[in-house]
Amino acid sequence: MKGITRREFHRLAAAGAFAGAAPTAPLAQTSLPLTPAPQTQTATPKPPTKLLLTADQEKKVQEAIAEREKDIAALRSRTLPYDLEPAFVFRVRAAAHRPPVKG
Amino acid sequence: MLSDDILYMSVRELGSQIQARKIRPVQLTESYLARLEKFGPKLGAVATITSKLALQQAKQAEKEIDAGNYRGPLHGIPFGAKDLLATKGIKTTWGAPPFRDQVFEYDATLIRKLTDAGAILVAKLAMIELAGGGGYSNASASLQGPSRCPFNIDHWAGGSSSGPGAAVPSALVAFAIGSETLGSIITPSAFSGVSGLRPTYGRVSRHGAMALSWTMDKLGPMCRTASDCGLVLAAIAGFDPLDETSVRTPYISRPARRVAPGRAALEGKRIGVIRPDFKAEGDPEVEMAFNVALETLRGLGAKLEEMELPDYPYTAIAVTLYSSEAASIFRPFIQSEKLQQLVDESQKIGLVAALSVPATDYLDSFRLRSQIQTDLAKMFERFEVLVAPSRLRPAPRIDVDFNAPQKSAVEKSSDKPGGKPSDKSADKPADKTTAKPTTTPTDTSERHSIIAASNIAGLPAISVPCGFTKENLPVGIQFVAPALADDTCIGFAHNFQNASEWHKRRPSGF
Repeated sequence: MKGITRREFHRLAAAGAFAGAAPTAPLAQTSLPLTPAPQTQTATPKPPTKLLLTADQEKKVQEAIAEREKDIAALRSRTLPYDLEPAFVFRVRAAAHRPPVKG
Repeated sequence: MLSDDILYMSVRELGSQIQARKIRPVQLTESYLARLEKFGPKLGAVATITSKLALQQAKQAEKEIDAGNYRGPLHGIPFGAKDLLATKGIKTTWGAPPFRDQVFEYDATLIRKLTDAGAILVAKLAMIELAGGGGYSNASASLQGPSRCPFNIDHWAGGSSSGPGAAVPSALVAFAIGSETLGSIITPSAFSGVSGLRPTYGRVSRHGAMALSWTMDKLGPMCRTASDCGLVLAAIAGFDPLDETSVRTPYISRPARRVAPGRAALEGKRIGVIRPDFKAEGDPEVEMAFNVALETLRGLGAKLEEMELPDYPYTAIAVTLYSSEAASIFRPFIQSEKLQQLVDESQKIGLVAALSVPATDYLDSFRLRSQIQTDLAKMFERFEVLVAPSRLRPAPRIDVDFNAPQKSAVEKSSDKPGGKPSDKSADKPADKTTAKPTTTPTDTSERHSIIAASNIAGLPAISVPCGFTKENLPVGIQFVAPALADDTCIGFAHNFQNASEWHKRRPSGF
């Protein structure tokens, strides 16, 4: 994705592009239109945005989420030390070794 | 057909008979296949019987052994695999109707390793759909239907490795492979009287196994003895370039040390005992069996000391970790119409709800996981292993709704299954270590949530039978060891089995 200049960023910010009250086009599209995606990519069917649930299931999902909120209160109530990092570690991967190019 | 006495032998015994050419792999395989056909449906143990492949592998094993090329203790031994392990050209259903026709074009690393060791795949075994990732409300939450405890078929075999739970104690296979994210080996082992090992996270490659949680899934052996678990683990452990989380530390299965005359097998060994409040949440018969097991350990010379886990909300952390990962893994499926094909309504609801776990909760769980690893490692400076009842109650009846309110211990009831452990109880004042709660104190019963705590930290554990209830339902005791000390918990369980007979009991009618 292409970047924008700092000046452009501030101009857009001041214009309320991040206000969120009204739906705005994504920042990158506002300033720098992207190259249209290849047909194969755009043709891929997107998953439905609305889950295919019955009204009763929707209600039960909301109940399950509410229940989880209660369960997770003990976790959220903890003040974690600032320098406590997650137990997983992101590791860089060295590029695969390539034989030297001849000539 | 070979006699039941032979088919109920341990892997170690069968292996030595095969090596001595007293038992022939083809005959052994045919005998287990016949039992799978005969009893598999009654127990709800089987997803697919792999007769053609099995007989092919058995003939190959026989030919090699006859030629003097004995590969080792699993050569010619028939086994079953939970139906979440990819097997080339054979259905792998993940226990779920939407995947009933799924076929992979490769073998899981574990399957390849067992094949290399000369073991014979006789069946893909039943399981709870999607390993119960979204939660489930009853024993029937599976494409294969409910798996039954062979000792009392009105009761559940446990889950989510339900097929292995039913098949191993009824000698439909010599051993089986199960998987655990949060209790799915320990629970069926406890409910069905199996010796089941959950290895250290990363000890066994997960490549080709259905991913439910990249950071919590483990694959492990379910056998008729603890010693057999060591034999199988030796064959399946090891680094795999196809699973970057697999560990390079080698696993060496040490034979039990010979005890010097006049010395007890566990003399001077320190064991931390996690004793839940059975009166509040457990079953009196389980408590009694657990107490007798502790006496057995004392009799072997071990020094027992009651203790509690460091103060953390283990269950909330474990559930947040695996459900967030499951939601990411299965998102396209959850958002498709196929979701409605799942058997269990709770599973559907749970998977959808998991899509909305906040990233901050997931990351906080991972940060607390760091502290839990450190704190549990410190605990093992005092103890070589921890012991606890594998489950607080025996197997529930097959028709029980797991979501129904639990009855009190006096009324005696079923346990909640493997997906979300309910091994909680009231406890002493918290001995806070790190990350102290600022507002809401942790539920005190969490101080005994060993299944959640040990799975979060990736620690190995083994469950072995330690008694039976009046209804002939098995009771299990679990031994938990530090990370990578898989052999330690196997060793303790092996010594316990040398001093007890529970693992030798056979179900009647099978």
